[in-house]
Amino acid sequence: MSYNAPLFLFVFLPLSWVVTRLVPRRWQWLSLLLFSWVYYLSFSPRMILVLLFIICCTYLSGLVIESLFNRTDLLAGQAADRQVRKVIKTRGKRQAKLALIAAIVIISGVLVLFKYLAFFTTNLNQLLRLVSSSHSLPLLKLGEPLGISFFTLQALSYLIDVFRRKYKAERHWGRLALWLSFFPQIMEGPICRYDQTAAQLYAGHSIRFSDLVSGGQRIIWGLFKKVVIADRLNPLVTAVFDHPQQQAGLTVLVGAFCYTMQLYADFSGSIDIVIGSARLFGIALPENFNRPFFSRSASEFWRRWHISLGAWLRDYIFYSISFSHRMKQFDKKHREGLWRFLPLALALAAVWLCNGLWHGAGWQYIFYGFYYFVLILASNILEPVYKQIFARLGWSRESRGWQAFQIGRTFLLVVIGELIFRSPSLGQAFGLIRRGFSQFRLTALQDGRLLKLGLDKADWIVVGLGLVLLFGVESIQESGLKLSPRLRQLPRAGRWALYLGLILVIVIAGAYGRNYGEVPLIYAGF
Amino acid sequence: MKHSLKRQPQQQKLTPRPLRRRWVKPARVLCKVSIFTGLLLVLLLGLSRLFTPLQPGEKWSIHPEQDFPIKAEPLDSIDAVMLGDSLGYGDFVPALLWHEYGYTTYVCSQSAQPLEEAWAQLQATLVNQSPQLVMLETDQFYRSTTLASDLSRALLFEAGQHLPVFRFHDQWKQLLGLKQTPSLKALQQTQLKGYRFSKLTQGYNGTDYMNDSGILKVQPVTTYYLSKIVKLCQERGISLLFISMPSPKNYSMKRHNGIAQLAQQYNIPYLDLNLDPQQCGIDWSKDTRDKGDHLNYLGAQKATLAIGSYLAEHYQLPDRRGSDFASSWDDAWSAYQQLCQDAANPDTGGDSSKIGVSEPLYLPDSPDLLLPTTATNN
Repeated sequence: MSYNAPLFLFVFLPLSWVVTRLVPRRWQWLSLLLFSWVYYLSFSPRMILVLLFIICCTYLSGLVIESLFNRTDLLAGQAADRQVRKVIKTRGKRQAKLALIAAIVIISGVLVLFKYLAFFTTNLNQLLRLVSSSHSLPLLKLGEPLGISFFTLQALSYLIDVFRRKYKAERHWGRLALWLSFFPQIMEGPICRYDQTAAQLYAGHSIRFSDLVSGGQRIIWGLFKKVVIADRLNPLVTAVFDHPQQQAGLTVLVGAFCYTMQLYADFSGSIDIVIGSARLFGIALPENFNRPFFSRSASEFWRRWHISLGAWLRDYIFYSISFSHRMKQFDKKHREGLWRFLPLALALAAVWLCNGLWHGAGWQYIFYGFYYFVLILASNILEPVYKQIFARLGWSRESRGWQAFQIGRTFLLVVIGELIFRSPSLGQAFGLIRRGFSQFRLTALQDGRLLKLGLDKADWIVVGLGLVLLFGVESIQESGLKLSPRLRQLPRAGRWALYLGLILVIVIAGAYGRNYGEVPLIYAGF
Repeated sequence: MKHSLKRQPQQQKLTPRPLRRRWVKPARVLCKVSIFTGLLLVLLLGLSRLFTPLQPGEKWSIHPEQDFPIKAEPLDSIDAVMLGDSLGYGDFVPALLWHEYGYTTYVCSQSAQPLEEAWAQLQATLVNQSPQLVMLETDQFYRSTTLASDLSRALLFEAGQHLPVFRFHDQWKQLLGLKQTPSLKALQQTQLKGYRFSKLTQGYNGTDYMNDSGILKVQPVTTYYLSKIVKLCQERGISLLFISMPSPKNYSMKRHNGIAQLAQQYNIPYLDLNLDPQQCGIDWSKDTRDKGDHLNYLGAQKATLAIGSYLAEHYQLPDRRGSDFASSWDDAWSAYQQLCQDAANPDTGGDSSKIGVSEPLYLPDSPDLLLPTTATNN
């Protein structure tokens, strides 16, 4: 039951909304929790045990960490001597850290077990084959619980924040359970922090027409992106990347461009549906996209694309490494020369290794992370050089021409990154890149080759118009104009005509129904 | 820095508002939502009228192509219908059965067709035809992945039954003149009575695929539509037959057992050509077009002849050669033969050298191809 599935949109979501609204406000959280579990059960009844295990583990670990801190505070408060207080506090913190590490190992272990075990086993077997052909480890296929990459990261962020004493551990089991399993976000994120959404989820909400309107708007806009653009591009993307050896030249580049557009329309469209669905219940989820294709650098792109993942990696990996005691000491000693970039390089390497691995168990994902690591590290190292060059030439880095060049350059780098990302294997990714550039001929535009990749002329027109509308709206938003207040100022007839028009566009131009296969949400697979 | 999560402040105890005032706001919301939904429904109904396939005497439609090509066949001229997915239209050749037995059979199949579509095809068929036999290719029984996904698909299907714009929404391509109506492929398929010819060869090198055990049960949504098909066939006095076409990619013993259980439950005969494909002559190195997913024209010949033999043994389908509508069937046979010749002859556009076709094309009197049935009747 994907978020764009008719069963979700026309049965599950309305039913859960009505039931939750009928329940007294103080029990609404329970209704949401039960519907979240029903939603999870609809995918895999057995895998809910994994979710429940993570909930229990997170709940108990949070309480243990906090109780250790509380006991330390109590003992330290009773101690008269300052030195003794310090010793007690250090010991208490160490114990809490051990509890945190144990919880991280358990939760990450579950993630590794279900998501990466097959990958590690396969690679270990290949290594073993090099050493000795007689030994190989059995390949266990456990299946992947829905949304495991999302809820485990949420659980870890909660525990680390409790350890950092950002907030107190949750004592209400149901409240934590709802925060980890809230159905609109469990499949695709955004990866929420506890202090962002837990209180909203637990609190009851009364019906507000504004919530219904803004929720509905987001759902319709998300469906437009997903059903009209992303799903229509799917046959072409599948044709190119499922048979990579048959592709060369322009076909590869068009395939990579289309996949980039498909991924964006699919993921941001789903997030629109997610945010809209939560809004219907009066819950404001954080944004996960901020018009990423207007970015001027790779690092800016990742601050605008899948924001919640980028922020998670920044707060819990990057900061943990770059602000660690050893790194600070190293930083003090090496203020000049290339060595000064070492702490940054180490922190970035860890971030991008995790980013790559988070997306999937495959070498192409690890290389995808490495690709961005190199791009971002290189831009950091070269930044002073750029500054000097621009200063000497007297050019402005804020000129429109330079900005447009940066946006174009970043877009090209992103498309190449997505080509690596979508390729079936790392070897095939390199092959595609090589053939894409070395056998590039514009004649492919004339010989009708692009019309034999699953999209006919009409499909191209729909995709083209869809992208014009999508990026037209984003350009307006990027210029600083807020569309929602403008929409509200329109007379009701105009607003309704706009909504009805967009719904009819989705109904008519959407890639769904008997001539189209069901296209699963792409990020649900990560 | 220490922070504590702010708890929601306790609700202030206010004097309850009068009941009438409490319901004014929700009633207004409900009213607006209802008007909006009503307007949307009216628009969808209007579009549905525009998008519904053109019926005789109707003008207001942008959908001149018959959605169900079988409707173009003369009244009561079809004696058996094959309902299925790509294993139906790719593996079963009606023209061959016409030539061999004089049977008029028709394939009503679409790519990735689920059983609810088969139900729609059957309903459309029975408007003009009174077949004696309906053959259900069983791959469509396992179209589902999860119950939720099945329910979603069925919901969209039912919506399309009442608001045809959901079913025929793609017809805007024809309205804008961006798609040929009907496509050449569709024309050829209609001429071949629903069969889609394929000369490609990509052999299957896998092992025996029917050596597992257990039962893979058919999902409830599929059984719901199956029971509707069974009921309709019973009402119209039509025999039902389950057929599993040879396909290593789509079949296993688990699936066979699941279908056999269903066949037993509904008392429907079941012919599984996977149990011993060699017996009906399938050579997996040559007879499949995509590594064991579908048969190519060579494999389809063998599977069709095996089915023909089974039908001749178990049913009394009439020999229609010499009837009023025989000419269109003779045309189908000629077209089919021509395609076989082209596929086998590299000089006439066939790429047999590339596809490795080395055996002779279908010869009507070749005893090798007329093999005994491998039917397993459960």
